[in-house]
Amino acid sequence: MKSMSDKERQFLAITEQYGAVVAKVCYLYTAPGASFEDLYQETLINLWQGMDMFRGDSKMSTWIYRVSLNTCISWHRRNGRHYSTDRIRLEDVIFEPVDSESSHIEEDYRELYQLISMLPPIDKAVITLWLDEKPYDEIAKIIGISQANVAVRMHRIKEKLSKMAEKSALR
Amino acid sequence: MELEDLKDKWQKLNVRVEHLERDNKRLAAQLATGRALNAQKTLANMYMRIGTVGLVLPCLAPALVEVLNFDQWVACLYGIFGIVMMALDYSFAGYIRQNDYMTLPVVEALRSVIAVRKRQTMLRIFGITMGVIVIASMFGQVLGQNNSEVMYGMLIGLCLGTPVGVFMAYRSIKLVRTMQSELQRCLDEDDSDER
Repeated sequence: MKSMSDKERQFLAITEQYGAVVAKVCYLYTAPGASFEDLYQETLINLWQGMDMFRGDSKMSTWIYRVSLNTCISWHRRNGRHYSTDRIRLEDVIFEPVDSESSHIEEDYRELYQLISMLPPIDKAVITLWLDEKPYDEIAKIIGISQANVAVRMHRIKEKLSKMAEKSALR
Repeated sequence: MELEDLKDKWQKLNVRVEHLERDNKRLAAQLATGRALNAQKTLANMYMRIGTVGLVLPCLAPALVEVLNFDQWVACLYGIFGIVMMALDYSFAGYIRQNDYMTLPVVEALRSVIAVRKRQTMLRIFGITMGVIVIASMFGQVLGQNNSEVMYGMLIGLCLGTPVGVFMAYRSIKLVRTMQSELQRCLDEDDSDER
């Protein structure tokens, strides 16, 4: 059994390497602000709890995504928030573009979160993993569905997002 | 916005988490001492506390006979109810603790959470049902004694407690149904792909 200080070091290494991934996932399941930090912390606590049981039978990133998504979906269910994306205030958001030359940054990010945030929890999980360039087989392992099911869901999500994007363009 | 555009924008996001990283060190220290609890452990601890309250009932049972002049069988029923609920609450707390669903695939985790919620709902319904039987027997005793002060006290408790218990049981049942239909949707889609 690892000593506590070893575990703390490992935990901090994980948060340093995957903290941004966890934060992105948490943002999609809650509104920015106080509830985001609570959800982020809850996710880290669950990572800590699960560290002793992680045997390396899956990739570290797979494990991180599972814990993050399970935490966020549980949180979403417990808090029952059906927030309007109009409530996402950009000044609360702490992300920034890597490419700072983009002139439509604010509008793009608002649209991005408006579209994804309106999906049901499991579809949101699938699209998050796809956006992070996870292959379908890995998405299937993380979610626990078949690869074929991932493909079907992605097709439906694309249709939904296109319709939502058209609707918002028409307004 | 095309989905490929979405992917491109998503890749370009750089989530700034420096202020969170400062908190992570503090969190790690708290976690090492076991002071920070996740929702699962908080729920388990809550049921341990509720279970401990159940211990009070068998301790108060003699007072029902000595002070309120209830029949012994009513006092026994009251005490046994407390012991049974304490045992069930402790058992449920243990079940929650060993249920490590966080590292499971999302759909399996959902199945696991549904199982916990179902047990929680059954425990609640059992508790309410047994509670009603115990309270009804106590009411019977009070009616027989014509003790208006005790009667009013019990009526107030009943009026306050029953709607809360029924509402919480209803909410639990509704939540389990929603989660089950969400899981079923995942499984149905899986089956239809394999055909």
